[in-house]
Amino acid sequence: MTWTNALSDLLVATAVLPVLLQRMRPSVFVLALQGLLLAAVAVVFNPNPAGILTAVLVLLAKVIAVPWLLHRTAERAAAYALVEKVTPWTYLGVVGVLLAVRLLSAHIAPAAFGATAGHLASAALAATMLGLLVVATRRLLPSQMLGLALTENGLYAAGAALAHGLPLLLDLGVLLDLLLALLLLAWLTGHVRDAWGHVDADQLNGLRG
Amino acid sequence: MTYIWLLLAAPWLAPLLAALPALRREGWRVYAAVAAAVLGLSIAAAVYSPALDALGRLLVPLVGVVGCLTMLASRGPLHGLEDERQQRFYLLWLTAFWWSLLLVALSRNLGVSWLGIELTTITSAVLVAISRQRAAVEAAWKYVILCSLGLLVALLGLLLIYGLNAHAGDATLSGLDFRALHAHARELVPGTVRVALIFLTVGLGTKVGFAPLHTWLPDAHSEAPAPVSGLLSGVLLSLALVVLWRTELALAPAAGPSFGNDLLLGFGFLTVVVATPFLLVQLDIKRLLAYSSMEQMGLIAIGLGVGSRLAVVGALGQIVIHALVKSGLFFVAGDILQTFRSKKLPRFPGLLASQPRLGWLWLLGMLTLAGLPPLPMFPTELAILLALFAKTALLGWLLLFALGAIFVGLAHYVIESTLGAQRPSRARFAPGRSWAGALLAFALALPLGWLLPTLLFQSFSLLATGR
Repeated sequence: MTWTNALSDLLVATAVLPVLLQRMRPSVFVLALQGLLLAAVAVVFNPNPAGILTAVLVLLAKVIAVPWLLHRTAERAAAYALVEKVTPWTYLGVVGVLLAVRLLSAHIAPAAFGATAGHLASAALAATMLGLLVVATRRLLPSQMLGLALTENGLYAAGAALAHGLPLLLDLGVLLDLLLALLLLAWLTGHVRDAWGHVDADQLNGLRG
Repeated sequence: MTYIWLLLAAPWLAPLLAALPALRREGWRVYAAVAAAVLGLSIAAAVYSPALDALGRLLVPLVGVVGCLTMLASRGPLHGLEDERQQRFYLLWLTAFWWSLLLVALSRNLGVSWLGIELTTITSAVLVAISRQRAAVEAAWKYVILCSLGLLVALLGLLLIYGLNAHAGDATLSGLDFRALHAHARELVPGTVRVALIFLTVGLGTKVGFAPLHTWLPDAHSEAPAPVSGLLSGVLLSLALVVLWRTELALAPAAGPSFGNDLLLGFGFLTVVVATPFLLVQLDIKRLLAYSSMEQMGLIAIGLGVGSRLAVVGALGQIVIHALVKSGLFFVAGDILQTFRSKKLPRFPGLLASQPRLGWLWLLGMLTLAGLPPLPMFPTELAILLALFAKTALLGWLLLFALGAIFVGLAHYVIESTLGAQRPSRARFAPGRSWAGALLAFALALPLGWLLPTLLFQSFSLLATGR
């Protein structure tokens, strides 16, 4: 097993865990760990000064800023104390994504992008889908923010696999957009908590028709 | 390029000037003066800047005009934003939103357009939630989460295109220029390009308000301050649709000539069909206008999807007229809300008698939206309809039926709200001051509705090839 394959498999593992964990605190920790993996991916797939600069940016954004913001939001919303049940449908979703990725990784992606990049591309797609699954299955607003960050992490890995990273301007823009979106969502979560007394997305149903 | 840089820098002059102690009390006047300058620059850029292509020459002044009218219509105090500090915050974020729209209109690159559209989500969501009322916060949350996810799906499509470019030896941002993409599209793998186009259509389609990805749209448009709803409905949705169309045109040599068009046609049709019943049963005027925007986006997507000269000219003309008329109608809706403290139709019947100025503007705007001849949306809608009949008669009849139902629904709505019996007991508040923006918007739309199709017809080859 090569380093890059190990990184890809770890990426999938760090994407699966937040879907299955019922509490948010360990999920935020796993997200930070995934950020660390992405920094490593940036250097391994682009071993030059630009890759190192990107890795530093990823460390700052995905290992420090985003997990800190999520931690702060969850703590203020008292979301750490809450348990979110994982339903059988969620398990089914995880199994479905992993099977699809196994298929992609074994047959389709290596032929299209080469063995190493193909393996990472499949893992990236899995991470993206699992991030979307977190948004779709979680009720707490901070958990949905976590899902958004996981989805973006998956796409970041896809960029590294498909094109050895994006141009710096686009990379910076995507990171900045994610940070701004999460900041905004954190601000809105605070207002939801103040107005409703909870942060349950299922009960935000005042607007219909 | 000078005009482009000036245009991107100019809007930020307003918050800087407004922060000066001498001008601090002038607030809105400073913003309005700078907005007029930005409008002038946007027209100058369209006329003189070689950095803009034909579509840019159409869209940049449009964003300039509607943005300037929005700033005029934002003369406070707006409903829900009575506090002076809140108004300063509002004007600052309105500037940021307008700036991000200008960035999208100026961009000729898929990557930069994506960044601009994502930025519009953030800047406009702050405006949606600015009153901090429960409904507004709920709408803003749904808006950010759905559109951010949608745009991440679009990013996946963009990454696929960029990856294909990189394998073909062009791993640069300029490789994502629409013209460069078109020039090298034949070297890309068709199957992967089609998958990327599906991701881009779904992702950007979320922002356009395509059904079934539209659920954020009526909420956000109805809860935002009325002038912002005008900019959201009139400009933002269309810009996202134009970026999608440009991408599909650029990649057509790889994906096949009809692949992108069929996607647009399919989503366009579904959107019109889904929006129609919601439009017919609405009592909330801002939600009604939001569903009408959804229907209009569907109609424009149908025009772009049909792809013939007549259809594209109709669709582009519809983008311009819709931007002016819809923003004007939202300004009027804002004044109605300000005056009657309600968005519900039963609360303000007999508008012509009770508030003649608002009543006449509402009547004119709604009849234009319904497509009544000879008002300015009639020729553009007719062009799209005729082009669709020429392509597929069955779809043409279906669209005609939907437009007919919408016409009847809107006509009923107009009669109820303008001619219904007035309620004398209803308490009234100081009327809003956004109507002047609506008057200007309608005054521009009326002649343009008939002039624009001819002009667009003459410059069609430039528009369709991105020159």
